[in-house]
Amino acid sequence: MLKNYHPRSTVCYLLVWLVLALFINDIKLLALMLLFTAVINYTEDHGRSLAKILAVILPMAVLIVGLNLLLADYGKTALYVLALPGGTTLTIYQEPLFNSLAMGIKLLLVIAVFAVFNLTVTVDKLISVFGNYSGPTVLMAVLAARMVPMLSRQAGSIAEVQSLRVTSRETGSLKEKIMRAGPFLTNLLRVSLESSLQTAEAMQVRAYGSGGRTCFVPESWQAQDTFITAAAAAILILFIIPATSGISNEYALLLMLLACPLIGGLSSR
Amino acid sequence: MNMIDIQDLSYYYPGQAHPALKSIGLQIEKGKICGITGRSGCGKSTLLRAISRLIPDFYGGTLAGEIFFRQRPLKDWSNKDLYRYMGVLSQDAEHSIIFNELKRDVAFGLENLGLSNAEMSRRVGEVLEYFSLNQLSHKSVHHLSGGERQKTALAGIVVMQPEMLVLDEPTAQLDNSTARDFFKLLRKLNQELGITIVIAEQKLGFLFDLADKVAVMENGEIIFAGTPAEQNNWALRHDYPLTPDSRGDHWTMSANYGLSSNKTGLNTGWPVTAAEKSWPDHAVAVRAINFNYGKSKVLENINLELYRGQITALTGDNGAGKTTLIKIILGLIKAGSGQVEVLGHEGKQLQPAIIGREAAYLPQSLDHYFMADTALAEVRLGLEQDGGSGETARDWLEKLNVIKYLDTDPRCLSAGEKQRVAIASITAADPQLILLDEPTRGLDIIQKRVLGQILAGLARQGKAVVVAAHDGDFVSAYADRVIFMQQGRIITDETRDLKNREAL
Repeated sequence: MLKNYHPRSTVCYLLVWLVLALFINDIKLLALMLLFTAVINYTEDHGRSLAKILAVILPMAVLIVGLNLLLADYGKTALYVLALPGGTTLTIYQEPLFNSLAMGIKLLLVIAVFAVFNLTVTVDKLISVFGNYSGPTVLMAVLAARMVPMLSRQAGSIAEVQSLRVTSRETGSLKEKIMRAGPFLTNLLRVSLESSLQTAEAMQVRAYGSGGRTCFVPESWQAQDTFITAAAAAILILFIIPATSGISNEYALLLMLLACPLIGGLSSR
Repeated sequence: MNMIDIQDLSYYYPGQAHPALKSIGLQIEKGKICGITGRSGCGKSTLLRAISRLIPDFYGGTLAGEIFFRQRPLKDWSNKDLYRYMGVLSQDAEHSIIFNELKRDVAFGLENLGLSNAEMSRRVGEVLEYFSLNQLSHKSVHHLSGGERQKTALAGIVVMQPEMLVLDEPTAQLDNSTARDFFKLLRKLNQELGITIVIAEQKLGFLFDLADKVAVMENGEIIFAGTPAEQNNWALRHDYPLTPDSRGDHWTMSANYGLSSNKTGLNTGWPVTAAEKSWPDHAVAVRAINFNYGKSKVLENINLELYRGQITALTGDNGAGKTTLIKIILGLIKAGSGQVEVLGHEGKQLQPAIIGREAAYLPQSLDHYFMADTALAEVRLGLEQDGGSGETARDWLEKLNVIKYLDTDPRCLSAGEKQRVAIASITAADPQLILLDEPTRGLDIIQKRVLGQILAGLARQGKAVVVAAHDGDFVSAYADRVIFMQQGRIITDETRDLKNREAL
């Protein structure tokens, strides 16, 4: 759906989405947002890229929820009292449980929004639209966008070599296993930065950053882009004004926000 | 008229006490082709970076002397004008290509020049036609072959209608037949469009066929400049090894890489006399394996045994299936069907963690191999893997003639030095099977000879050595057995007389 939009409106929409994900703490609202983001992911690539990321992030989210639940010592509504060895007990309260779940969902939501961004705003679109602004920040953004798929390829190659070289990888304590990840990450970072430097060099010798850039495949701004950007801006404003952010309003506004790409996507077909 | 006039050029990289370029003087006439040759690390790339003003603009450092481009000081050119007239291409097409879609990438330079959409469309269409890339124009560059990618990268600079091309080992990652086609394309660009070309290249046979002038570099200096024939005479007089043989109207590398004597200075400690070898047992047995990637067949009905004491070369063009076969042997990927037995392991035991205890693998990019911050620590990793042998890490670095780099980050070394540190690291682990993927990439002829000697020494120790390479000269000089692959199938499998190798 979002592929049909101009990259600028897509970036605006997803930025608002990200801000809401960070500021909203209502668990039902977060769950609804996650559901809709998953739907958008599904419409873009049948959820394949999100599934890959979730394979790594989901255990992490579960770990965060679990730890938060165990370590939290606040709450008024006791849900369970667990008997532990040694005669001690552990009380699970409703408030930290909901807070932990909200944190876990929030993490998944942010990741899902990034997955949508990667699928809809390709490197080609990013350079076409934002390449006109020749500043170091834009150059860094372009290089970072290129770096992600390159990072993935290089990570695979480095991991292959290390799986052969460090044959004791499967053994040892958790601490030892974590320590072994150090050289992998260091090497990956070094190789990726070196690649980015070479890409920046290649961009320079093709006159990038000389000013007065034109665009071979211009991205056209359409009515649907105005609509989604205006709606996103309006909802952001309403959310950050506490006086108008009552619970019922949130749901209504959220549904409106979610409907934007659906309406836009259908109208462009 | 001189397109390039370099006057007394010297250059220091940031923080370096020794100059990378020393008092360089070179003139390149308009419409001519100038080849830059020399050993790996002699300063060829640095000189090309200076000509394309990446030095000092991009890399910093201290530059003395002057370069004139089209009779105007290089430093006076604006970026836009300079790169409108000068096209620059590095050896790795992956980094030269910015966009994912081929057509958009070719237009990238034109966008930066600020041309109108109509003008861009016209030029892109013409260039795609000229380079026979029309059929691929909407394809993702990630789905192109190595040769197609390099052609795309070249099209992306030719579309800017430059008067000069600066090319840094553009065929380093291409097989010989693709490299030959690429050189033909350069000849066509020079003859039909009058483009001046400055090219650094290790494939000397191709370079000498193409160039009007050859400059030889050593330790940051130009030690000779003249026609290819003059360079050949000069090399013979001065016993300089890096020169091809003249064969009629063509140049070619001789089987011994132009070396009449052993000048590698390598002391491996391995015996240098030939031992009579037979191949009593196999290290690897592959039976009827197939592998598909999506709908395309990558390997088809592969049957072979790889023996101890042999250097086996897997050859064939890019995409022939060599790397995939190596990865299947190492258990990094699973074959679609068929059986693989490696050092007695098969079935569920065919996993990297198990195979890696007795086998070593050097990937195409050595930067992906290194795990430690110093050469010494890198080799120690190998020794740990072996459970500790009598030899120390220092012994291995000494044997491979890289002891002076023991405290240096191996990633900062030259291609040949990296190669030797990596080999010290794998041999320290005493593997029975050694697999190397395109190990000659980026090496000059002398470094290739060093590598060949090392591999021959390992084979004499009874190890099975497998080299995937499209470097025909290297293979003919050092391989005991040559397996030629094409489109995922073994076309020929020939074993050679070991004594031929020793005679070299």
